[in-house]
Amino acid sequence: MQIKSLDVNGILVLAPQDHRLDAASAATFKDSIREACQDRQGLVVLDLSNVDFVDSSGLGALVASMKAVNQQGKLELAAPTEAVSRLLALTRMNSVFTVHETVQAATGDIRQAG
Amino acid sequence: MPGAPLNAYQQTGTEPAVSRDYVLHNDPFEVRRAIMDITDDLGDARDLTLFELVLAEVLNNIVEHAYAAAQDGEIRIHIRDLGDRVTVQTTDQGRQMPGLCLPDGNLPDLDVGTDELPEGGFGWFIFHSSTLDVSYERRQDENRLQFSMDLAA
Repeated sequence: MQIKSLDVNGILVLAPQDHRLDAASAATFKDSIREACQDRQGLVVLDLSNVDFVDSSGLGALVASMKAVNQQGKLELAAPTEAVSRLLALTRMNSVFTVHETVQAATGDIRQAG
Repeated sequence: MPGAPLNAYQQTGTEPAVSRDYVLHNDPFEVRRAIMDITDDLGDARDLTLFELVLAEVLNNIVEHAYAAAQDGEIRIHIRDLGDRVTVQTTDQGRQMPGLCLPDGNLPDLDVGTDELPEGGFGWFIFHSSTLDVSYERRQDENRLQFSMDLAA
């Protein structure tokens, strides 16, 4: 899966470019995140603004990614779309993930906030 | 009654019922395509967020469990659109549900350490918490699952 990678003030921001994180893409998503975060310490922000749809397979991939990143650093979610926010609330996984409304809120980058 | 449809549906609202059929193989990319086709066909006048999610859970379950390692399984989907309600029937020739009934819809335990967090087990919770009039039957080596969902405008 194509994932855009950006360094914002030393924080790694990863933005999956696929619109669907589902049973068809969950495995490659997990691999791509692991690869992008290898031995990465500190905060990793997953920018979900392009992701219109996540099913329970995709949710499992998000959990697996958090487990992998949290070995060394910390994975947080940012900018979930309406559908993804609803899935996180429905499954109460919004209590497990740290979820920021925007990427700027996650990185604390006020220069981009305006 | 001879010639009567297999299922007698109660029509709700004033919209005429529209039926559509879809056939796909047990492949996650075909599942993705079918879900996108079905939601496209239902149009954007209603909120299909939960419907799309529930449909994905049902179809993923057929691919991953009923057909498991099967090479070439067929899934048929019958959609009956009643306007404010949509009824879905899926048919497959995969393995039967264990115990011939649908799994419970309990959320996995989330009050655990990060390493113990569940990476699955959400599907049937999503299904049961969002659907109405659920029925499952095994008939002549076929699984037949039917459910309805109310769709808000």
